[in-house]
Order: sequence, then structure tokens, then C-alpha cells
Amino acid sequence: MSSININTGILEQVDGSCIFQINSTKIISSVTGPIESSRIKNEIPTRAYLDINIIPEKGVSSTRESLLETKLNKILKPMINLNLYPRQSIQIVIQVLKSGEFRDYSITELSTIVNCVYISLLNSGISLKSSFLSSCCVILQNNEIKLNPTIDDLKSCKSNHIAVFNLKNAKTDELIYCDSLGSFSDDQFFKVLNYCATDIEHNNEFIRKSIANTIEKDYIWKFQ
Amino acid sequence: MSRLELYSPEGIRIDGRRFNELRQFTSQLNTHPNVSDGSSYVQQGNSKVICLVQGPMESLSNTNAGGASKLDHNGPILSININYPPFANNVRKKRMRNDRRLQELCVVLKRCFLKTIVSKNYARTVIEVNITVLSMDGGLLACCCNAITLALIDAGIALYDYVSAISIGLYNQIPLLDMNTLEENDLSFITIGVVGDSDKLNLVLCEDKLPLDNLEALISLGIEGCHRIKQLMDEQVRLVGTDLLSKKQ
Amino acid sequence: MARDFDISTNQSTFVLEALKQNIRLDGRKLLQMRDLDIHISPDEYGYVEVSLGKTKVACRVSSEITKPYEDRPFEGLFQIKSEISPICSPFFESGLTSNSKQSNDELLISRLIEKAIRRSGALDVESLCIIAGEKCWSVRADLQFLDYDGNFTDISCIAVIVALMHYRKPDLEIDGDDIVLFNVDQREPTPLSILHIPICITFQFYNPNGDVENVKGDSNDELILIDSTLLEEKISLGSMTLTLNKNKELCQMIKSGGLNIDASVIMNCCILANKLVDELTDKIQTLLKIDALSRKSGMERELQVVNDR
Repeated sequence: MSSININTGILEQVDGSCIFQINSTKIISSVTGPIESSRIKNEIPTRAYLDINIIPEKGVSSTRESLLETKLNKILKPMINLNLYPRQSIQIVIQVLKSGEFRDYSITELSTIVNCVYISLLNSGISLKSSFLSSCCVILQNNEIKLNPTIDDLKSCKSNHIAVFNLKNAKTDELIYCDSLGSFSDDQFFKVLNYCATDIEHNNEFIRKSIANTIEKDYIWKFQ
Repeated sequence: MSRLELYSPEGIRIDGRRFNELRQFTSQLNTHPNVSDGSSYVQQGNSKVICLVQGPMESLSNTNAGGASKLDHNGPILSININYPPFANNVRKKRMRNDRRLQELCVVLKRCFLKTIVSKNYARTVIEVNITVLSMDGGLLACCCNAITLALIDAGIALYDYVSAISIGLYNQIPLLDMNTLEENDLSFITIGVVGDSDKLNLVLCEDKLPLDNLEALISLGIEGCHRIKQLMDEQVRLVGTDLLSKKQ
Repeated sequence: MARDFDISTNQSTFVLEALKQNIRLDGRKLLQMRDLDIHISPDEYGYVEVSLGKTKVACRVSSEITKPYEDRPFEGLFQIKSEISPICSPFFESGLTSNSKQSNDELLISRLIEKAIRRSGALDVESLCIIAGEKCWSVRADLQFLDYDGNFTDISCIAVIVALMHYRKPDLEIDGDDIVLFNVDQREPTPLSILHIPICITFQFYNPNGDVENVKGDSNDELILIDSTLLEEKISLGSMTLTLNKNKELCQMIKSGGLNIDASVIMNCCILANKLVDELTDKIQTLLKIDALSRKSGMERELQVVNDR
């Protein structure tokens, strides 16, 4: 089973932050906002502007990071109550500390980023419409579905998938985003979605617990 | 070590100087009276630098720096630009517009002069300094620093005191004052800037490895050199000043 | 600048008044560093997280094989990336440098690290050559600034040098024109050749009587402190960074403007820095030794298992 390690509110200067480690992927993310937009063209009269920045483990940002930024933007936009912060911007910075996969792939990274940003957003106190979590898996050569693939799994798999679900009452509700690469059948695809959904529900229990723990520590005066 | 003999056993350097001798230092003020508020020309040996100062004025002449919102309420905004054309060196070499070494020098000079200008007199103004290197034979930072001091004086901007700078190198425990290119290429050196006649340093820049024990000798020789340069600059300023006064009467 | 870091007059006077009485807000002495914490990643080579109080920096060293520059066929490549992202503080703007003060800071920091480590020859680039003019190692150090509470220069220099000392590049064999690379578990990877350990110490200067007095007067009663926090850094009137190594060599030194400091005071700073550098170097070396030991035992344990079979 996967080992998850969460550490929230570690950074001083930003509003929300989180280190999320799952297996050999480690991401740190920060959320600052709502703040004044740095450029006038980023001021949108009706809603907040999402300023997303992904910094790779090594080297400079390339098209791969730009693509991830766009994907993340698509995932986050419907999840955040952007209308609450007109003419402001929300700055989200993601630093990949340990990638845990080759540059040709991005699924484990993206799924960890989504989870990490979700916790950072909670930590920053920005209004969300719903909880959301992500999971990824691969279909191996023997048609077996494997969650949280390793580097070797990714190299040898038939197809890889990532899914983001929103959560309602600790149960997965709607599919927010999915992305698949490789060859697979309809049946397999729906099976994959189910696998991811159960994995998300499973992870959610753990994540909820650790968030509850941190909140309890933050509001120690209140729960006494 | 190179095949050149940088310092002979008799104590003569490659261009015939002793260890504590400056190169010939000549300076002129008000070289470009029509295009700038203050201008100067400094020549240290074969290093030649022109400096033009615009200001204090309300906003930058180039449009890219926004409007009044960027002005500082406590002091002037100083913008320093070094123009280093390809012909200025022995070997023709085109420099990128955003050469990081030059940019760093600009920042260093800017911070150095922000504390030397009587900043409270120039709140909400912009002072623009443009330096053009005509020929470079060592001591880039020192030449620029001296030229800016003179140009600011010419522009009538209030300074607390002169800032004079010089480079000092180290050859086998022997400090050498005012290095030229040949010496700079082979030896490590530091550049220091001294305020007026004091022993106080405003600017120190060292980019190469240097034994720590020798630093004191370098700095003390450098301070002497700076004081001499300050004298030479002061003479020139007084000469130009009296000349101007006599013309007025 | 997304957001400016402003300090109220009250706050800055408070800090200054405290400094005058030799008190710092975190209870340190003026010339005392915060606790240096170096965390070396236990499961890979060349990744360290360093923190100095609340300032936090990570550094990752990686390498690949490329072609050397044509004018330097005997030398490998070495790059340091030191871009400050808004993750550590919202007033560092992401993306291209504009003409703001923050990007000036960034420029100075990256030039400083470049000069302290690359220019001073801390990494022997000639040892990175594989086949002259054909193939060489290209080593890069990616600095990741995570949290900002002052003194980025000193901590980032430590992070880069520790990561470089810890990194192991895969072993290889030259077979004619071909290069055979060995996996980490096939052959013990080889360390980089580090010639010396440069360490930066940044001094901040304050004048309790205001900066004008300093220019005019002859007195030298400046307050000097090292390893400043963000608040202290912002109200400082001038700073100086020295880079030294254990051999008492000055690798780099910069004092750009700020308060005018007497030469004798600067010499005193050098002596103090020298002492600190000795301490820090020892600390780094013992830490790396402990790490090496823990790794070796792991390796031997594996071999033991094979023998038992």
C-alpha cells in the first residue's frame, strides 16, 4: 500500500502551504491570496485570477510544466469560489522536490500536485466549492490495474490514467478530470475509474484525519 | 604563471611602474554640456570612460519605467547603465545586452552612490547615469566609480564626499596598485572605494581567490591610492570651478 | 512585485533600540548564527534540505553526459540555477526579471553563489572530462528556495556545496569510443572532486545614530550582526558578504554601498568570519561522514545477505 506523508502550514511567508509525499514523489506547494494582481491585465472584474506556477525538480520550466499548469488550472477553476474575490489574484506555486518518474510521464506528479494544492488551499482558507482529490493508475501488460505506479510500472505499462473526483460526505461524487494515455478498452476504462474512486475515498480518510489533527493543534484554545 | 614577467626582481611592473604607483590619471568635467546635466571623462592609463548624468528630474526619460507611482518618497531613484561597446577591449567581443557581470556592477555602483548622495534633498526624483566605456585596460569598476563621482559633482548634485575607487592586485605577497589588463588576467585583485579622506570603505569587491592574510596589506595600499585619486579629482574640480566663476564675473 | 514588504516605523525603531542594547528579537547575541540544520536525503545522492531558523532551502545536484564547449575541450560543464520563486515569499515575483529592487537582490544572490562556488573553483571541472572535446559530464545544481526569513546568501551557498559533496555520479568505463555507464547497484558511484569548501558569511551594519552621522563623523560605533532575519535585513543600512574556506582563502567579497565602514572594522569581520567558517566546515564534514557511514553499512548489509545465501 502507498505511504502518504502530509505536512501543512510549514511556510511562514505564504498563506497556505503543504508538503505532500506519496511513495517516491514529494511536492511542496504554496498558496497566497487573495492578493492584489501584479499586472493590470490579470485583473478580472468578476472573479479572481489564478496564477499557477510549477517549478520542476531540476532544470528550467519547459513545455511539460506549462502543460501541467494548464491542466491544473482547468481542474482548480471549477473547484474554487473565484467569484468571491473579484479583481484579485490567487498565487499558487508548486515546487517538485522529488519527481519519482521520468520526464516523459507526468501522471504521478500531476496527481500528487492536485492533492497537495488541495491541502494548501484548505490551509490558506480560500473558499472552495467542494473537496477534491486525485489518483492515478496504470494498466500493466497482464491487464492488471495497479494504483500508484512506480517508475518501472510506467515504463512497461499499456496505458496510464489519472482521475480527479470531487467528494461529498466522504464519498466520491463527480468526475472532475481524467486523462488517459495508451490503449485500453471501455470496460477497462470504467474499471480504472472505479479503482481510482475507491483509492481516493481510502486516501481521503487518512487526509481528513491528518487535517483534523493539524486544525486541532491550531485551535487548541477552542477545543479545550 | 604566464610567461610575462609581471613584477621583476628589481621591483618594476610590466608597464614600468613601481608597486605603489598609479597610472596616469586625467579627468575632465563638463565634457558634454549640451546633452546632459553633468558629464565627465576619466582616463586611468589606457582605460577611458565617459559618464553622463541626467537629473535630478521628475521621471525617467525612457518610457519603460512607469509613472510617478514608482518614485521613492525618501530619496532619489538612481538608475545606472554601463554601455560596454565591442571595440573597447583588446579583442573585439560583442557583449549581450543583459550581461550579468555588467548588471551586477550597475547594482553595486547604484547602492554605493545611493548612500553618498544627500538623498533627502532629492526625494521623488530620478537621477539617470549613463557610462560609456571607450577603452578598457583594467579597473572597470574603479574607473566607472570615479567617473560617476565627477559627473555627479558636475551636475550639481549634493554629495557627502568624494568616492574614489581603485583596484589592487596581489603578486606573491606584494600588493600592486591600479592594475592593467595584463595584470588583471593573471592575478587576483580587489576593488575598493573610499569616502573622501577617511579610512572608511564604501565599496569592496573581490571576485578571485586571495589569501586572507594579505587582505590588510591590499586594503591599506588601496586606501592610499584612493586618497591620491581623490586629490587629483579635487584639483580638477577646483580648476573647473574657478574657471566657471571667472567666466561669470 | 506582487506584494511589498513594508515595515512600520514602530517595528523598525523597536528592533533598532533592542539592537542598541545588544538584544535581538530571537534572543541571539549579535554575532551568533541561528541553528544550522542540514537534512541529507537518505535514499538518494545529491539532495539536501538546509534550514537556518525559518529560512529554508533545498538543493538538488544532477548530472548528464554532454559535449564540452569547443573552446574548453578539457573541461566539464557546471551550472547553478538559483531562481527565486514566489513560494518563499510573495514579494519575489516569478518569471522574467523586471527593474525592481527584488530582482536586483536576486541578481546579486545568484552572482554571489556563482562567484563563491563556480569561479573559486570549488568543483574541479577538469575532472568532469570523459573524452577530451567529445564527451564530458554536465553537473547542475538546482537551488530551490522554500522559505524566506533573511540570509539567503549564506544558506544557499551551504546548500549547494553540501549537495555537491554528497552527490555521486555513476561510474563509467571507456571502451574505445563507447562509454559504458554502470548502474548504482552494479558499481559504487564515484563522488565529485571538490577542491575546497567555500562558505559565505553575511554581515549587516546598523548605525544607532542614523546613517548621516556615519558619513560625516569619524566614529566607528556601528552595530554589526550576522545571519540576519528578514526584519533585520530589511532595516539594515548596509551589508557585506565574505566567502572564505578553511585554508584561510578569501574566495569572494562584496560590500556594495551601504554604510561606510572603517577598514579596521572590516578586518575584524574577516577574522570573525574565519572562525565561523572553520566551525561550519567541521560541522558539514562530520555530517557527511556520518551519512557516508550509514550508507556503507546498508551496502555491507546487502552483501551480507548475499553471502548468507
